[in-house]
Amino acid sequence: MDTLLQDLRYAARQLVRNCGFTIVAVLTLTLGIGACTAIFSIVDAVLLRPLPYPEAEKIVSLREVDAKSRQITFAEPNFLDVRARNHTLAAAAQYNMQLTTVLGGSEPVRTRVAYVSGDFFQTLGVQPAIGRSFLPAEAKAGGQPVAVVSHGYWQRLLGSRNDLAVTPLRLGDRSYTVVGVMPQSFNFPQDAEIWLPIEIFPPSQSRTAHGRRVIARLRDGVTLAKARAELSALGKQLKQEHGATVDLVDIATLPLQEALVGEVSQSLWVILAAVGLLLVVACTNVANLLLAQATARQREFAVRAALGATRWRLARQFIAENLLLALLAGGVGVLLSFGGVATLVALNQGNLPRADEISVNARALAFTLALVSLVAVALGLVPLLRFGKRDSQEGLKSAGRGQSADTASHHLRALLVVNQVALTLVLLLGAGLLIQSFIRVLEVDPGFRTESAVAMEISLNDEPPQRRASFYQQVLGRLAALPGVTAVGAVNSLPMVGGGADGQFLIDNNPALKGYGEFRVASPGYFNAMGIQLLRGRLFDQSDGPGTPQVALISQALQRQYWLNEDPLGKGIQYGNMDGDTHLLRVVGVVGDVREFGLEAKAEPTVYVHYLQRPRQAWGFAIVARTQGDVKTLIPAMRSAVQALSRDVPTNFRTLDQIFSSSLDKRRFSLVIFSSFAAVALLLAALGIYGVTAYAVTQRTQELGIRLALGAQVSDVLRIVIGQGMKAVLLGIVIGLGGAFALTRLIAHLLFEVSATDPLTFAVIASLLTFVALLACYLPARRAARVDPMVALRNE
Amino acid sequence: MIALRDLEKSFPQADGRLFVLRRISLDVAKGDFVTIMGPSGAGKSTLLAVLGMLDGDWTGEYRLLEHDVHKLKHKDRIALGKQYVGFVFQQYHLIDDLTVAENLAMPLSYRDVKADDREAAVADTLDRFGMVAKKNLYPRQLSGGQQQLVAVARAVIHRPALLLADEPTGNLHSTQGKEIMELFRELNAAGTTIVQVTHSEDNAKYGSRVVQLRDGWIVS
Repeated sequence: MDTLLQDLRYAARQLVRNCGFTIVAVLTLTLGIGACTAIFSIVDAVLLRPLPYPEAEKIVSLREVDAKSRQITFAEPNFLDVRARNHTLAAAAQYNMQLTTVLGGSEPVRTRVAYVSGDFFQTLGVQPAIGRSFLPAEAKAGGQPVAVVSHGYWQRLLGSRNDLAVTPLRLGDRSYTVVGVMPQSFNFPQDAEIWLPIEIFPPSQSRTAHGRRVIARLRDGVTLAKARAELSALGKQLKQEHGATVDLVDIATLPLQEALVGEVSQSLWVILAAVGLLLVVACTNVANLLLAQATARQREFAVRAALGATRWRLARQFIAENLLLALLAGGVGVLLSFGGVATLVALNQGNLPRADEISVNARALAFTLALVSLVAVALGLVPLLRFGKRDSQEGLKSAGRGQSADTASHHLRALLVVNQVALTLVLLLGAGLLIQSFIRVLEVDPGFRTESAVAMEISLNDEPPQRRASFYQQVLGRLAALPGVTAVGAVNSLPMVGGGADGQFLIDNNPALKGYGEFRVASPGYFNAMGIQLLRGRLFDQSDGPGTPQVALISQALQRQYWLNEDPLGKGIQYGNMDGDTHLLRVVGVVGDVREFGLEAKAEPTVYVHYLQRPRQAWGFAIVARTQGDVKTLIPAMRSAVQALSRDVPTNFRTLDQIFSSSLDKRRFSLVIFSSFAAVALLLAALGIYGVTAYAVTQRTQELGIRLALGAQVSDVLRIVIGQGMKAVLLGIVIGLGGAFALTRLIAHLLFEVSATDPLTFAVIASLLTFVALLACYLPARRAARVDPMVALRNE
Repeated sequence: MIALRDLEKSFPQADGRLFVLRRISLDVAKGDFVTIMGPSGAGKSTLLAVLGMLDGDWTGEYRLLEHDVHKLKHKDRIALGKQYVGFVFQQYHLIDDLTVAENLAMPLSYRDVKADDREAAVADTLDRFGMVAKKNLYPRQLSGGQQQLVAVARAVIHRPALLLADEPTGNLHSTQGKEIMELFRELNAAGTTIVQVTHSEDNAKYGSRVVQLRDGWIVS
């Protein structure tokens, strides 16, 4: 133990003495270790840690599977049947969530309200921290309206009062007594602040009106496979019983954790692998520095060996030195990772499940400590590779001669450069492919214009439909009169925001002719305000109203799918599946396609209905105003217009540019991470190549002096030095291209209209790396070419 | 104590092998003070390195005390060297970043001597060599003679049976050199067997006999 302390003491002295080396090495390792800690913190919280519920492994997510093998949300009657008939589930619950205006707290807020069935909390195994959850008498039709709120809502809007019943909540025209406050850590569904029993609302009768998410808890002793088999059989049974009136042909059962993180898990694993590559690149750089330092300390090692130090003792000394280096880097890295995690989470807030659980915690620190130890041991062994097999006598002689011609060391350093260049190329290619994808995504026409327009989102969920429509009409009228507003219109669900409904419709009310599409409730001005093109027929106009025949606009994709070679105008659509209104909608126009679910998803067939004719689905309305001036100056006027009508309707504003930008968050997340890693790796590789070439120049000073004395030109020296440096680089590029050819397939799911082995990207990135490497070789080569032959020879 | 028989060391070359030691047969008795002399390139330092187990690539027979070194594996030779041999180098080879006391303690720590015993041995040696006041100084703060004094102290701190010295006064002026040689004489008188390599006739006089090397051969 005391010799270990002695090693550490000496190591500390070495680091202080060589503070230049120490700073560079610590900074380099900090980048690698800090990035690893940050990414691990995210991966750990999202993918590795079990969900924060008792026996979380027993909680599953159920989804209907349709004839095209798509997994879709449940229709309520199907859920009720599954819940009643199964024998493998201890509890099952359905839920959905909406942004809703809630009154009754210290101020009106627009927040996420989860409508959940009575077994919801029992299924998750979590009960309120204060008060209680729903009683059976409350979770049924005609039950007393009660609500459970989140800890955050209770603190912010209910003043943390323990007497919950004092402040009822009002949603629409119904008042809810608060009966419970969930624990602070409870966050399911994500960002929900209020939970209401779904049973007090009229149940849906349609077996094809989807939208209910379902969770369940397996009975004790029931395996996932057994539950899957039973539920799948139940799904098939329902299909047999209800035939064409259900979409489901099967039921998919997934562990809830997998269902929540499934979409991002592959991306996060790839990012973790990428940060691992970055760490290796950083370690390679430090290994190169250590080799250079080891050469300078050659005499010391030889003396130690001559005085009886075994290889293990020497290794222990190196490991102690590198342990201190890595610990320093780990410490700084952990500090940086706090900022890194916050930045990364902010970058992709909307798309990262369990984002609230992400933090640099004890597990992350343990991971960092393990990483630090690994790095210390790996780097500690590097100098041994350099000196391991040499006799002490040779070492002492070499040291006596000063700088020795050290071919083995040079080969080792060149090997490290090969490794570094190869790994950097893989990272650069990953980033290159993602950049290419990003460019291709931006080339996609969203179907609407994003500039100079702002969207105001309001929610009146629990108001009667006609009252909502009337309120929206008044707001639209006031906004249209605002100075600078050139167009104003509204829709129940904005493109790229999510939350819209979709479902089956009947063509011309014929049960044999079915279609499937997105269902949107819009105002007449919506299409002009958004800049959505009218392709055929007409838009909604003043002639359409509550008392006139119902009309619909369809998107081009819907026309192509159902009336490819026919005139769609005048065709009838029965869409009672969406809002219970079975009036036939007459198609009066065809509008351009809109990328409802982001630029990367294909434009879905969409039916637009008039908000005054079909207001039921317009729980919330996003009102878009286009202006000639600055959109930000328009916002206060819009807010005032709403408040003049009602002070109880909170407003939320986003420009269309912001919405468009947010829709790219997921892609930007991977792009920013990969590009950052690649940029850092490129910098480190350039430094590594420079270091090795500069070292080689120092070693060959005499030789180059002789060559110059014998008549070599500057260009000859440049060629020799750059040629030597570029050998390792080119080998690294060849190996890297091979590696990338195999590895970039792993990010294929992140690419958009670009092949994982896109030749253009491979060529451009390889050229970029070659250019940077040439530059890194040229600088020391230029210095070598300026060597005064006489000085070089005298030095020897 | 030492018996060499037909010991040879060579390096491969394009047209054969370059011999640096040829058929060396030499006996050194316990308590001897042997001086190896010869021109540069004669193989003196190489022979010393072989004797001290710093060089393991040779042929022939080498017996140290009761051990047949030529039959031992590399690891065992190193262990044998650690047990019996101390080294003094021409360039002192002190570790720049260790204090005098730490330099002295180093060979003991490599021999797994317990901390208490190590401290006691270092204190003893500092006292014996008159360096107590300098124990916390770094080598760069010492004169050449003082550095070599530390190097000698370091070489003998673990009480080796055999002390090997390669040009121990090569970098010292005559007074300092004489002090070191006197020290060697004292150590020898106390029972330490010494083999030194030197160019100096004066230094050779401290020894009991001289072995002359030329082109790798013992010539006298």
